[in-house]
Amino acid sequence: MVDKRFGSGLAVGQTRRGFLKAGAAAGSLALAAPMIIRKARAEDKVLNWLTYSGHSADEVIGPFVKETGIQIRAKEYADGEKMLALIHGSPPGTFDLVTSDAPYVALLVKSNLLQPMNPADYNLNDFFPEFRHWSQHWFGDKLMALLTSWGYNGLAYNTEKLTAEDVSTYDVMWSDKVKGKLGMRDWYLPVMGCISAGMGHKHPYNISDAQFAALKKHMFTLKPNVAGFWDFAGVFDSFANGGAYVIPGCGDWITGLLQRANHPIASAVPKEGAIMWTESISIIRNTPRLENAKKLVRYLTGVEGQTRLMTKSSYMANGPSEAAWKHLVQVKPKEAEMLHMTDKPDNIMATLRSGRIIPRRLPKNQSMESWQEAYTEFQNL
Amino acid sequence: MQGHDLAQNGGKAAVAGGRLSHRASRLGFRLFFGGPLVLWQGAFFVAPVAFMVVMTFWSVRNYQLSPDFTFSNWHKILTEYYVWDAFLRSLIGAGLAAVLSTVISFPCAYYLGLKASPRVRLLGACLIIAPFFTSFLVRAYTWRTILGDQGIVNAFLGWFNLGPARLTNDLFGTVVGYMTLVMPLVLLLQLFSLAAVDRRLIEAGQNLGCSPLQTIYRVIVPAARNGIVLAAAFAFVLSFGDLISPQVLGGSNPPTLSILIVDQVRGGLQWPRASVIAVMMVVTLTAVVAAAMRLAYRGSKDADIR
Repeated sequence: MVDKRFGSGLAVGQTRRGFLKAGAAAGSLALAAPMIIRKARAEDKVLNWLTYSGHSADEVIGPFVKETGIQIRAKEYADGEKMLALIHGSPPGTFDLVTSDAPYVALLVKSNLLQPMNPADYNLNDFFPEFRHWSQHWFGDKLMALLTSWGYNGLAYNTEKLTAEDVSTYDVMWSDKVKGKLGMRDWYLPVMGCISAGMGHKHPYNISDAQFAALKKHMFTLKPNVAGFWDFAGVFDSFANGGAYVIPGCGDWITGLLQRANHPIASAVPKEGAIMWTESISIIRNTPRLENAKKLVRYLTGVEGQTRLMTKSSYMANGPSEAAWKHLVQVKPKEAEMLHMTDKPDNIMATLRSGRIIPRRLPKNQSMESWQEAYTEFQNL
Repeated sequence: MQGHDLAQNGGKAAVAGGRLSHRASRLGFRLFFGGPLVLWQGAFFVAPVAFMVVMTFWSVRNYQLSPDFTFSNWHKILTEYYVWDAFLRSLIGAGLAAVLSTVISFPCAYYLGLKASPRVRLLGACLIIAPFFTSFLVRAYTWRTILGDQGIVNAFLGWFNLGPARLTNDLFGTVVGYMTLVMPLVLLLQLFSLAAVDRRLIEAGQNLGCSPLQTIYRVIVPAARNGIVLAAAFAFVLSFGDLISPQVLGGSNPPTLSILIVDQVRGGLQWPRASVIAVMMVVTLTAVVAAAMRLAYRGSKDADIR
């Protein structure tokens, strides 16, 4: 995942040491990848899976491997652009499955890399109704991906320095209370999405050129308050060490980890809305291991796989499965609380249904380059 | 007589043959020792750089690279004000790192190279090498703990009701990172060149009435000039391209050229534009190193080693 959340972040661990260890592991995996892939081709009970950091850990897929005997050869990545580079730069047949951010599914479909899925193969009735026919996964009448995880990027804040009232609106970012303590993620998409939502755009990524120009101007006025632009580890460290009081483009997926480490950091969905992040699994077109691939998708969208994805130690996540949600409340009530996946009326599904969690998309009327460029100018100020 | 001539001719031929085989063996010798370097440099330096230059003319369509011959990437990058801001910033940061590390390292290198006993010098050299045992990323993050808003330095300032001072997420933090990266190397190179200074020159200088300070800047520094200048050049080169310091300690605030390269790839997989920036950096570094070489060897009797 780290993608939507932390562009350049490496694998995410609870501690910096975990983070570095994961980075080293990812590095050695990258070096060993060609060998692993070659080996995998010779065998049948394997699956090559291109996915976000932490997904191929035993804590997530252990039961699947044990039950089916299928070995998972995962190549983990940390941001969407890297995933695109990996998938375009590898020979066909390198991967059987790919987990990506929903907006990137569209890019993969455009490149004709994905295999249409048959909804009947999966237990979609376990899903909340809104996730059964997730619009970003349907292209015409073809289903190209299934949601495995989701969460939101709103405002993360220090609860000792700011109140819930303060962070009920993005306006807090301009406040004198956070002068020099406004952190920024070093990834333009979630941050600019939040600022765009804060300006009242109901579709933060679908704005006219005039609105985009206004967004730039508005964003630039934030600069005097900005402390720095950080990757995952930088955000984590800055919250932990008082370098930042509030950071847009963050959510429970990171503040859950900070809470586990006893830091007074929480997340909020401001009234203008937060940006949703999603992770979806797709099957690569013409994979020779289609049945195995279906089995993994069924596992990851089932109760066991979902519960493990939601509470994994690399980063927490909400899930689309109502059945898994009910299971989580029973077996891990503390984590359910951290993820706002409780039976309370203000739970995360209620927030989603109220329209305050807006699906993330790629910029529609401008190129990704021009959004990135605006962000670079902002950094350069 | 004739026999003598024959013998003489035969002797000449033998000598010529000997010279030939000698020459051949010298060629073999050169190939054996020089060949791997040439192959290595060709495969891992010349070819990639050439490919990078070629890529600056390619274009990106639907997030995929496609071979092309367009100047649009060059035009785009060279006309953006933020690229030139970042360029200037990188020059200043790397220049500061080169100058500061040279000045700060010198007294230590001077002591270890010229004053200390061989035993102390060895111990000193070991201590200089020790930082290389830890990853630079770890050392950079450690600085965040020391320089952060609630870090050790600011806690100390707090005792005197001073601060908190902003020591990270700006150019200061970046330069601290650069110095952490380059100081051990600069110190080692200075140490080697100072230790190699001919002691008789120093004695001659003293006999001719140089004060200790005059001995340093009129005798020792000129004698060790090439080592000192090359160490500074190394510091510049390493800092100029470093990504970790401006990101982790500088908070990308504001960005340097190395961060812009990453940004080009992130926003729409613009490898060609990233390559243009990389070429800019290679050209700058070549110019700086060439100038440093001139400064290091100009007018010295070592000039012929160029």
